[in-house]
Amino acid sequence: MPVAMPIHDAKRQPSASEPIRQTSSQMELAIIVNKSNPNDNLSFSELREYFMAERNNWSSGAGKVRVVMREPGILEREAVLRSIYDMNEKDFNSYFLGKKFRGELLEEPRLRNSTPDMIKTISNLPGAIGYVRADEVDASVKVIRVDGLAPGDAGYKIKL
Amino acid sequence: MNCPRLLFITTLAVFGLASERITAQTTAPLTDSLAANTAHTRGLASASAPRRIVPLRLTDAPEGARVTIASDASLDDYASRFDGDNFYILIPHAQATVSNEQITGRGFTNVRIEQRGDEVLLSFQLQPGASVRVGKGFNRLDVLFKTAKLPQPEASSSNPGALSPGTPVTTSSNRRADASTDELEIISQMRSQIAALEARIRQIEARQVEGDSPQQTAQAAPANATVAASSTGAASGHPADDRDHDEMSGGTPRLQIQGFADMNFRASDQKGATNAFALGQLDLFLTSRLSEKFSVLGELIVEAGADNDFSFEIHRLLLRYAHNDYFNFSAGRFHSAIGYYNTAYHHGSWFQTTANRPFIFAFESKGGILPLHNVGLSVSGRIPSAPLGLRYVAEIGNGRAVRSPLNRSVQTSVDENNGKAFNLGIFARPKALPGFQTGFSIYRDNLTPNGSPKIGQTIMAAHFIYQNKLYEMLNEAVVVRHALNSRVFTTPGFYTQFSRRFGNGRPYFRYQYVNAPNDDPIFPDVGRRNGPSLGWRYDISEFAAFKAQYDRTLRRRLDSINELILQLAFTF
Repeated sequence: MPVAMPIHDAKRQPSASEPIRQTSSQMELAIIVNKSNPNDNLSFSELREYFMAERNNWSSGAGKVRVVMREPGILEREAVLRSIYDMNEKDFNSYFLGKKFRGELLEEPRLRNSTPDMIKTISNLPGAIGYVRADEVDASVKVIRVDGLAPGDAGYKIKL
Repeated sequence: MNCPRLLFITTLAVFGLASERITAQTTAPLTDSLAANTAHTRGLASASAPRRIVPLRLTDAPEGARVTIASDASLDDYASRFDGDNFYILIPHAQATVSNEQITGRGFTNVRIEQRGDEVLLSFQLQPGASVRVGKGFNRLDVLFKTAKLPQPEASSSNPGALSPGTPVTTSSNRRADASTDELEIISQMRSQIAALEARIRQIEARQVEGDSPQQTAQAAPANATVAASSTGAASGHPADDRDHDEMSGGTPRLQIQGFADMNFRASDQKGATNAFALGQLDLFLTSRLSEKFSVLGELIVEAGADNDFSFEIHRLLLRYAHNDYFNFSAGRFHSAIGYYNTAYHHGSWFQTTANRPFIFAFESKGGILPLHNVGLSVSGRIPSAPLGLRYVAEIGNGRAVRSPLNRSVQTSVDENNGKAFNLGIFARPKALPGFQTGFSIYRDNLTPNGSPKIGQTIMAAHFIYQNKLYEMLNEAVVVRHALNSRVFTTPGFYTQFSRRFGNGRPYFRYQYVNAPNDDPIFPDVGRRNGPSLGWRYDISEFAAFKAQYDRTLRRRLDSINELILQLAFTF
């Protein structure tokens, strides 16, 4: 399946004279939440439960879980589908349609079409959880550790 | 204070002493100085007709009021001055078309226009704390009042465009300072406009974040139609703390509709049956959020029967209250949580891998043995059990009708008896085994057929499911027990289904079995049915699938049936 390259990715391609220098943190996705969220760390299975809407409320009392996703065709989304959902695009749509059909879904994942939009939504929406490239995180959101690991740590699972 | 400013003020004073035209007592010293500043232009200007000063125009700017003084000729030679709380503008060789205007705005309380000989003097009484700027165009002056101090590009002492009480006069004699004033004035206005626009953008963004429309959600379903529901009392009366939920629009809930449908071709060797194309169910699945915790779910089915006539039925209509992950409450008509298949696949053939449902989960209207629909109340949620992922469901409802075979089997509005059916289920989705689910449920009801004593019905169901992106394994078993006086009739049934995905294709196999006693008081015509199904599902698009299935059904004391089903199932 062809993958649409987002504009910011295209811009980031090094020129011919520029050495390719991609640190491990650039290859990883940071899981970000609203700064009011008291969680600092989630186990991978908990993270999966939140993203898959198996839990609709934060166990820490941070309110309703609001999953924010990037639009289809973006590398970050595909990485999350692969590493967290273990699904492809079709399975993802079918999964949430099924949950909705069974009445198990309170709120479908929201869609954001750029990293700034994603960060802005997460920073403004209590209970929100999403993801951006580790080198694109800013101070308006909080990065969650997964199984005690942050982007850049050895063994961090969520990678592009 | 720098020397040019001292020299400037001194000059004003000298010219002011020489002036004989301005005589008003309260403003005499001031207006004298203003007149002096404009005296040097008088000689040139007096040769032509005086300029006409048109009525003032008041507009509202983000930081205060703006008064526009316009003329039919250039206003380059105006002079301005503060005196106490008053701000004055003197325009030489001018004629005011109005004597006074009763206008007030943010930053000033009163305006006076005086015709003094061939000069026009305008005075504005400033509100406490207000400041004023003058912007100059070719034939107009914009007097901008500010009620709150905004950040300035430079300190006031070095910014001649920002005037405050006590600031010396700016006149046309100092064109360099005037030009600087104009530029700074324009910059100031642009900064004000930018600040206002930024504030507006922030408001819109905040609203957008809290007000995402359902179209912006991740569901990329082909149609997620939303229509504005009519305003209802429930909608308009939503609690204040739910105001920010994201599906309210104009104070009313929004209705989402998802459609499911299928088209079939069936051919079998059963005596009396003919092969035929058949329109399947049209399933309109409706959802609407009323508030953060309340939602409505509905499912409307239109279907053609054996007489080719269409029937319409509300298969689900639920008002749901989701308190938290541990307690969800529903009231209405729902799918009974007996086993797995009934709540996972129910209507909407597109969801299920196979072209038809297992015997034991056949709909009541098609001779199914289980009460798949119920009307009543339901609670469900998680059970705190971290590693096991336990969930529960408890239901109470009218149960199934048996009094007359002509009656609808689902007791939607009337119950045959006062007893109610109960169903309790518990199931687990262990975190360590994503895709795995196992569970057990028990259902209990009392049936009251015509001409027969009460029959106690107990249904026990267990399931063992594993699904991932490649494999699907569904295994379920039920036992239906009917107790009539001292006799007990037991009907066991099960199915097992396995499939594996290969690209867009998914071949599958299913074996199913049900065996009802011939003398069962409720299922006299079910008997034993068992046999395999082989099929292939191919997803021709993300939301449409083609299925081809062969069923062989063996029956007790009856001929076996071989059937071919071709199906197009889709969601829209």
